[in-house]
Amino acid sequence: MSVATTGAVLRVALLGNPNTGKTTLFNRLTGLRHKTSNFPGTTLEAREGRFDVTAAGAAAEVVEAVDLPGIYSLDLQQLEAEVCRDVLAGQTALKGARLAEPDGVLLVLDATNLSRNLALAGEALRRRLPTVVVVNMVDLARKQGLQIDHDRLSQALGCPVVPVCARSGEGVDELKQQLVRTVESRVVPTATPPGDAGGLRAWADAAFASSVRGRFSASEGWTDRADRVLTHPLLGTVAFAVIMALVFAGIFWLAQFPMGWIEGLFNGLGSGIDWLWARTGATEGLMHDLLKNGVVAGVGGVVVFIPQICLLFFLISILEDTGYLARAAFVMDRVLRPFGLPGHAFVPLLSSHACALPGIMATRCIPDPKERLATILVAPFTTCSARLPVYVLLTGLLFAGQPLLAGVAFVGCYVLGIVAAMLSALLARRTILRGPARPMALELPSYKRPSLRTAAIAAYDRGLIFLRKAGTAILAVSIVLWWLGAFPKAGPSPEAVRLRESAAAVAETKPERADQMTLSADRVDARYAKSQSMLGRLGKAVEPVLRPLGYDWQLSVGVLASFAAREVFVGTMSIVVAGGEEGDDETENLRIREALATAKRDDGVTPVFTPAACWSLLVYYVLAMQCIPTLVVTAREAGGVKWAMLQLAWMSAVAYAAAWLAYSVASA
Amino acid sequence: MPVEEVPQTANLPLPSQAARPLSTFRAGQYGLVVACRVEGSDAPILRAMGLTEGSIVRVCRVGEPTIVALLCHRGCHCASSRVGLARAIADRVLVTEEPVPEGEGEGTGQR
Repeated sequence: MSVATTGAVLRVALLGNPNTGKTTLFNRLTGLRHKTSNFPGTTLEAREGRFDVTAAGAAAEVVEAVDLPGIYSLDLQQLEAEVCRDVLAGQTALKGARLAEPDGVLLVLDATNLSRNLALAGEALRRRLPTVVVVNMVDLARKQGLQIDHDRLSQALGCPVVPVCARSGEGVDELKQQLVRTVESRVVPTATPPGDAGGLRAWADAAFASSVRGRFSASEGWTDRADRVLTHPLLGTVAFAVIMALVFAGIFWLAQFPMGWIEGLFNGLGSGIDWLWARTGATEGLMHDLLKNGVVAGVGGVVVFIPQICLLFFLISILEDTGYLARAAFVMDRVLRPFGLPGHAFVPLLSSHACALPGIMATRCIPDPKERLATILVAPFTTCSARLPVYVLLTGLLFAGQPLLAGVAFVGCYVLGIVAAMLSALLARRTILRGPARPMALELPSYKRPSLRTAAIAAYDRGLIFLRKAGTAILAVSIVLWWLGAFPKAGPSPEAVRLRESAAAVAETKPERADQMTLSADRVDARYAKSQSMLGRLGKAVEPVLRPLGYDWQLSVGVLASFAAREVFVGTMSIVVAGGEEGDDETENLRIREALATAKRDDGVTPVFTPAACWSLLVYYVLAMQCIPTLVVTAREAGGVKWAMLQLAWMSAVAYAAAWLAYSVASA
Repeated sequence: MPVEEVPQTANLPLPSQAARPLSTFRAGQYGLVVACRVEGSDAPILRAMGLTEGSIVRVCRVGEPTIVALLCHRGCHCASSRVGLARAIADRVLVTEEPVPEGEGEGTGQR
């Protein structure tokens, strides 16, 4: 019986153990024609993609494949296993997908690890769905001297078996042909593996014994040696530090180029808006302001971080593919365990140094729910990219002309963030998330050459997810903040009116002086407009609360405006204090920094940025939760708004207390 | 000790005098897992990863972590996968020592 007519879509689920190269095969089959989405009611993601099978002699044109999470057994009481069970039973599907049993199963086995993989195969075959078994990584098996008789294996499993090397593409065309033949003819497996654990294992052993022969390269000496070094308390820690230093240096060095291009692009867009308004002769009103300072600045502020996000996930994928990450988890377990966090937490915490959003999403690798929640709650303490412009500004103000000291302060900010995260985790694990430490048990995958294709697709996917999830939230908040900062519209300030009158008086005799006075009048107006805006009034309203930290109303406006996104602080201060300058190049930035350094409070004497206020601000920005997208993702990943509110309250309280302490010490 | 004589639950007495925690083995030794007295949800995960009563292991590293290679079967050198265990787990996996298989470097899938 055929299930598909011409033009129909066959729906296939990819199932397999972790580390079987299932995702590499999925990427090989679908390329970029895929999307990532959630299973309803869970935070578990999977990718769904399509590939053309017309060349494979199919009646159907397209196969729609879902890349299920890697699992060790369908019977485990884990979310991943539960989702796989439900997908095979047609009881769940990715959001937007049709709820029905898949037309077929692609069961991916690791050729170098067949004996264990066959247990999951037995569980899957019992579902009686048309199944094709893919024996992946046959190139590695050949190198190890393994001889797999695929015909015998096919007999033992009662379904077609196709040898494949997903990384090189070997066998993929044959796989497509076999898949459509099996699925379209609805051929179900003839083997009936036992349902009990002991019987299933004996069945898997028998299937293995009947189909695998030959000489095995028994010596795994170099793998043993590599494992001993990479998990050694001292050598492993040194190796970890070196590898992570290279990863970070690579991310920050490489990302600066595309980040520069993106900044240039968005500056160009802003100039384009100016040009458009000038060309049409329209006055720069509300729409101009909204587009340039709300939409373009808001979107640009997010998009600029995409290169760092993509590079981070590219390099993490490379490290994972080599087999190193599992070893590193054990190294970090020793470091993190005293604080109640597992070794698994190091990837999320590492990712959070680029951005907390992917970091929090990466906590899904932590099996224990309490340990996972603790990691989510403390991850935003680590220094993300968005804090860097604030650090650059404040350390520059504190140590002008002393780059070494500024650098030390910079590193100190990173350390403070990590210490705060660890102590907060310890506190959480001793109080609200109390529970026994779960000792680690991890499969250590074989060392192998990583797939650049898989890494590139992982980077592309994460970049898209970041843009979609963070971009929309930040854009909305940017527009709201723009609105708060732009309304109500204030008329020209008396000081600016006087300046313009003076400029007009000297326009003919001293035109350069007149230009300068006009420019000053524009700055005074921008600052006056900000002070009269809702944001300015809010700044004045909260000033009493922030005064113990050393902030006047102008700094309070900066703190408030950057509540949604930290990096907004620098731009806001340049408007409120320096009068609307924008730094397009290094000279401009220096000029803004000078303007900020000499800016005065309302008394006309006290600097806005006193050294004590700078220290206080620096500590505040290291510790405060000034990022609404992070709160949104925390609520989603932790399973409730209450956790996001707790995170906000705790980080705000810690930031306030520490900033007050810093201000008090620095003022003493 | 034959696999079928191995006690299946932690409530039963120690399987034999020869069985001792995996954490006491030396790197390079072989062993037969006779009991996994791991609690909670770790036990089924370990079983699904292939570390269960009757598994033959080669000890690759002892300490924190303990690393074992899981072999296809007794007398075989073919390591199917490798598992890293925290010492707390390795302490609770009881193993009897197995002889080093003959013919280092060879083996077959057939028993």
